[in-house]
Amino acid sequence: MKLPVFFSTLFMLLSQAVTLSAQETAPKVQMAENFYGEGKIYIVIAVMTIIFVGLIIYMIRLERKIKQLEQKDFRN
Amino acid sequence: MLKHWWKALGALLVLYGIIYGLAMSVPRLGILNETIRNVFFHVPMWFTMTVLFVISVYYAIMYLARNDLKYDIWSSQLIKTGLYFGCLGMLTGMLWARSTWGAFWSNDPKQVMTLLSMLIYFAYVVLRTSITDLEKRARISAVFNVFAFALMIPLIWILPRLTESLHPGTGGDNPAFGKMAPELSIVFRPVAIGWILMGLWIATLFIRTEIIKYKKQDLL
Repeated sequence: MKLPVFFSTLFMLLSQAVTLSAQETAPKVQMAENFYGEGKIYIVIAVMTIIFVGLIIYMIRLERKIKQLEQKDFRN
Repeated sequence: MLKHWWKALGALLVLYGIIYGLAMSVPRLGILNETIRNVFFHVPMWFTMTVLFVISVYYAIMYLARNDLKYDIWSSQLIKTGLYFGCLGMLTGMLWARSTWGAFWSNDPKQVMTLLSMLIYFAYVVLRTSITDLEKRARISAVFNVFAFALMIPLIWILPRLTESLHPGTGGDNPAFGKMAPELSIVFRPVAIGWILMGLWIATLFIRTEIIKYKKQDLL
């Protein structure tokens, strides 16, 4: 009686393991597989970096101008 | 230079989001695919808007307590900057929704309630322009601000999380920190802080120009 019980539990565990691994691999999610492959995404990153740094430089210049105006006395 | 450190930090954190947010490998999620990277840009818009509105209501209460026009300027300009970020969040969200949920607008509870909340704040801006008396304008808009904020709490923070929504974070979860994959949230958190700092920086520029405007007209 013991051996069949052992085998049935073993089978259950194994089948569970199989279904678990199947769940892990089954749904293939579509991704940009060549995202880094041709290196062109890095160009996009570089372009976005340039634009962002440019905007920051603009904001710093704007802030300096505001500071100049703040130091000016308007009451005369 | 030393008092500007937080602006530099904000810019660097956002830059980190732009560079690493695109260069990192993201978890494979159905429907979202590569668009999950939007989380580094779309969600921080709302965080920034919310933070600016929270600070704004603080200055509105300060105005009511101290009657100093400076607080009114701070409060109103924070709302204007917050609304800019809200508009950016709305536009980016609609674009993202088009590719994932199939339509720019699907009457999702979070979409509707956020729009409602933003319309209340737009009403604040319109209300301000309709009052010419400075003291009256400041007092009425400070009170309106408190009510708008009191409405925003259930509209953005509570109600959408209790109902079924296309957005993540239903059933009482915090949408940004609850179910996000750890490899994403470890990047998302600093980037969100960076955007909030950028929002504060932009708001200070608005506030300072407005103060100059008032001083030039001898109103302050």
